[in-house]
Amino acid sequence: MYAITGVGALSPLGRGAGALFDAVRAGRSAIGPLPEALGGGVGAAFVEPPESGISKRLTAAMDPIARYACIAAEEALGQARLDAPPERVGAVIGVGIGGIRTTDESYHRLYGQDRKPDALAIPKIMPSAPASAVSMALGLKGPSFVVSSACASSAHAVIEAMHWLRLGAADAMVAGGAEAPFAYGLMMAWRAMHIMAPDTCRPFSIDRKGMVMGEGAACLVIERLADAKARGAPILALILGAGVTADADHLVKPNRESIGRAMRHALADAGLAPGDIQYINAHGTGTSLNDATEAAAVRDVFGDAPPVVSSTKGATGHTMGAAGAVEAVITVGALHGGWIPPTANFLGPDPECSLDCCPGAARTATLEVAMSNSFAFGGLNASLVLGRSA
Amino acid sequence: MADIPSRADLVAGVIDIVVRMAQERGIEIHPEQLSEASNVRDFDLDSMDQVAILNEIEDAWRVTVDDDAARGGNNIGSLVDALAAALAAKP
Repeated sequence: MYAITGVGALSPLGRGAGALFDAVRAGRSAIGPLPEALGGGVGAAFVEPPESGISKRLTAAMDPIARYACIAAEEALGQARLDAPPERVGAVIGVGIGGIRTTDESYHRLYGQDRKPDALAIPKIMPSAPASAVSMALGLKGPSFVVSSACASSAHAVIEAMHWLRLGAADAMVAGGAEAPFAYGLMMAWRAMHIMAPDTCRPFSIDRKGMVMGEGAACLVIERLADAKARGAPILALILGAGVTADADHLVKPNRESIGRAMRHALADAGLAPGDIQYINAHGTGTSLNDATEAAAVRDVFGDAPPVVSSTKGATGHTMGAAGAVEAVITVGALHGGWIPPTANFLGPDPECSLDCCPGAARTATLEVAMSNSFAFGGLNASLVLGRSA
Repeated sequence: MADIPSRADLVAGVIDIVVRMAQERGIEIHPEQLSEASNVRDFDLDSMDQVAILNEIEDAWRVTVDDDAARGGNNIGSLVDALAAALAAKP
């Protein structure tokens, strides 16, 4: 079993995990109009680029995605107050798209202005850059790398981090994800898929019109439970189990059987029955197909009386590679604080998604065990089972 | 061949770029601290920063500096030499 001893988050809802919890709990949404430079539409984007406490020297060589990862990791490590040597602490960061802003700017300079690309474009763009940045900025010398599985990247990162703890190759791991997707070219590509909502993200709701892009980062510090207890660390929550599956089916269409299997694997890994789960933080993107498929899979696994299922993407937008970590951190906040996160922007129940989505406002509840789901384009799925710390 | 700016203008332009790139990295340098003889390594700029400086020079003057000519160009004067050679070679 693994202990979560620190969390950090950076989102347009606010800086820090506490600000994220307060905003989600209040039912606030970060989704708003995007500037014309991004082609308009809506998104959950930072109004002002967040500053980090990391040296300008390092940040000059970082795409925003790496900076976001560093900010969240720094907060999580600050809370965990590790005493392990740096060689025994690593970082696994989930990335869905990567340094797209640098890519976009460099291509614009080259193709649009006949200018040289940024000299540091390559080390800023490389998918592994956020893990390197976290390692360099925070002095972590243990196993460190990026995992990428689209929207499930940072859920996979959490699971991968546990593997390194299980192997004994590290005493603590920073696991999380980051995304900084607001670049004109990428936004146009998303719109070309015709799955972006023009108004807002309404997971599981009647009249939902699709997903809305979000940006940010979240990180968790994970340790073996015995180690965390031995050093008297404040334990925020436990990781009880995890399940991972691949659809081997369709590039973008979710697979009901496969995502259900991920949830079943997570329950089995935790040694729990479906009835033990009191809350599910759903993948819940707000697209017609995802939400209906996920709702059906939840009913397959949990039967006719499933637990409360909400999606916090109505508040945060879809933060892609960061989403699994953002939602795991929110679930930790819910377990630790005794509340059920609401589904923002909910207009009314959709018969295709027959679930209690906790619409509008958070509920007070003592949660013992919760699940967090992350499903990705390409059919790569991950479910985490998290527990309240005694 | 394109008109080549005076060496003094090239030196001033390169110094402006060095100062700007340093400031972006949190290193405070003032133009008056720099001359043709200045070694950028003395101002805590490393090889990665030198590449960025060289790239900005190429971008500003729309030239491609020969890598061999620029190699080891730690001082402003050698950067200006490489830039002048690239300008002279420009059609």
